[in-house]
Amino acid sequence: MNRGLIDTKNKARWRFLLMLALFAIPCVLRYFTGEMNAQNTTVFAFSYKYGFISRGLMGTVWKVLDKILPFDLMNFDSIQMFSGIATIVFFIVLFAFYNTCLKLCEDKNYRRIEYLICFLSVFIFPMFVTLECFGRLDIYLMILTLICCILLVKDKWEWMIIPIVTICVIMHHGYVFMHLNIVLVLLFYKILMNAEKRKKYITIFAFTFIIASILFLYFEFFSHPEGEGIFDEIVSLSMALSMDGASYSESMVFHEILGLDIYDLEEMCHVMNRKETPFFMLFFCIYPIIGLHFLIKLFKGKTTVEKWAYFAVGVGSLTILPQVILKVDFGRYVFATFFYYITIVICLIVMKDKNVIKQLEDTIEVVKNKIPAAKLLIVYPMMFMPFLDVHISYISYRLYTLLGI
Amino acid sequence: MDKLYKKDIVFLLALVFFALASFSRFFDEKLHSHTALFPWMKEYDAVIVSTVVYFIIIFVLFVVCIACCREKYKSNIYYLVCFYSTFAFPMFLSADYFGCTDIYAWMLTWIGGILLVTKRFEWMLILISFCIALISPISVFSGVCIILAILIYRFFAKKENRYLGYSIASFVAACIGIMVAKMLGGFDLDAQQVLSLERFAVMVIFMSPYLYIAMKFFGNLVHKAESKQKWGIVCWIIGILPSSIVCIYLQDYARAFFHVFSYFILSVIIHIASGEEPVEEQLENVKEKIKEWSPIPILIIAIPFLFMTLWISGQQFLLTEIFVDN
Repeated sequence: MNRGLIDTKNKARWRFLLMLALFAIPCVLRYFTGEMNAQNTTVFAFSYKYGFISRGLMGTVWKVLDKILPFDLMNFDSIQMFSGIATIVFFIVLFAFYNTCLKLCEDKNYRRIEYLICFLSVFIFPMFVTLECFGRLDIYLMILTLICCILLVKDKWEWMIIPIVTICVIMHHGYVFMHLNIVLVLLFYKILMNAEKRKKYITIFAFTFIIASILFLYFEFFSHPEGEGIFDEIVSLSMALSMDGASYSESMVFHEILGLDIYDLEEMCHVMNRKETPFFMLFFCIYPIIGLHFLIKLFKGKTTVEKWAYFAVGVGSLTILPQVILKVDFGRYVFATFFYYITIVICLIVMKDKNVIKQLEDTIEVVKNKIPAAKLLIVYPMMFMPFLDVHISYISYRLYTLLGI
Repeated sequence: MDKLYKKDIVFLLALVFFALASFSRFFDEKLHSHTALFPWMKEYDAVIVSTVVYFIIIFVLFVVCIACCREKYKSNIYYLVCFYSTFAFPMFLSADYFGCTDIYAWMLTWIGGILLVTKRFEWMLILISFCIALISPISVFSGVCIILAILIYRFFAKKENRYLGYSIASFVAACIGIMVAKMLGGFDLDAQQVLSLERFAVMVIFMSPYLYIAMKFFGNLVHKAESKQKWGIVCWIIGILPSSIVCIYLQDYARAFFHVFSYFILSVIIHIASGEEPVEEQLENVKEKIKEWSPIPILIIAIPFLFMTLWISGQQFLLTEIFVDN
């Protein structure tokens, strides 16, 4: 290719990424409080000192670092600092993912990828800097998921997905429902659409799926036999690591250490979720409508193999459903759903899927024709971000409280 | 006035949702103490009703502007209306400015805007200027200045003497309004010092791209205008000075931001809706320049989403203050 053209493309890419970085700065400045809730500090008190327990990886790493390094890490300030570094790493990996996608996509799709990246950024930038999500395990899972996506779109080192996913599930077995869908759906897609390397992808998919399933079952049902014996020690350590030095996440310790069913403990949160969700849907219904239009049209008139691949893309986010039914962090689940669909579409475009590209063009045309100033849909979610944890968004939460429901 | 088309109605309905979202995000039910000419203006129920009327009138203004705008520039006016809404919707819902008498002044200014767009009953602008000055003296520097700037621009652009007459009469009426307010004991600028100088400085840095865009816009407008028309544009630019100087002097930085943005965006909306060709063309040029310059032009409209909350109802601990304080 002409050297001048390559330079122009590179310049455009760096300009876009710089612009995006400039957008990230105010997002972080606005929402970063430096505070961490007990949910996110308690996890650092879990470690494999107590056996191979659920969510014990981060705490174990933390304990090892505490022994190796010459200063005391068993305090809130150190955890806060570590979470800050993890957040910076997350942004670096996110931008690396963006850079990879922009580099690999075809010229004719460049603009569309830019807009999709911008749309994804509106959700991602403010999400992990709030009190609710700063330092949450999700940020480490997101880093690793994005690395998997980079490997998949680059077609390089894809075997690494198996250990990466294993680490993710060991870190937080909820990963199986939250973000594993992206990795599995992309692998499934490659199995169907890439006949040459089918065996390789079947192997990676099978190992990933089996390991994740076994680990999930173990952590959910068999990882807390000595819970009562270690309960007091974990609680006191959690309190020492918390921001106020006196709090810990009851639900997390009860569920992960004692293995108790915490549905009743979270009953109030379930009620809040039921009240808030319709209000949120009222404001956000336009996106599921556009998404459905895109998926239904994508499904029509395709070969059987393609239909299976797009069916997997369409229903992939349903893995979040068990979380929605049993758990209460609706803000995180809504984020995971948007993250799944936008990321999958970006990856498929970068992987040069002609049907997805064509359907995206058609959907954009339909949206442009039906909705005036349609580009505003890209930035509209800024009003609702950041999504919280139990509450989806400040707006929907306020609306139902203002109405006294 | 032309009729509204289906897509206009869809747009306005979407804007209603946006207003509702702003309401639930920024309204926190608290009413602080504000000075007011009439005691009823301080009553909670009256403030609620006025805020609802504020929203109704701004929607009427938008309906009129969209209906009157030429088809070719419809998409521009959609984006401008959205841009203005990001400032105007949350401003008087946030606790610091909820219940301020500015709200009445802005309602009157928008009614003035409707008269200017429809070019009917323009003599009523004199009465409106008087009422603005009487109810909210600080708004003389914002609302009345917008009306005066547009009238003077029209005088130079259209060479119709009645606009000069209206502007002189409006100015005199505003002065009389201030004097009457002072006599009645309602002369109070009601400054809300909610934004520190440090945060103001940070905000100015963040908002500097808009300054650049404004400079480009007005620079080209002046450059392309005929000699007499140039004076109209210069007056239009100068019209922002009283409001910014007064607000900065009073250290009411949040209000200063709101006034500056409102002044420019609202006056451009009114000019576009009135079919002022030089403004329409220049806006189109600036739009193209933004597209060339920024890979994500839509962010230009969206960034105030973040900043409105930062200046006005940002209750949280801010990194900006860590930097500045340390």
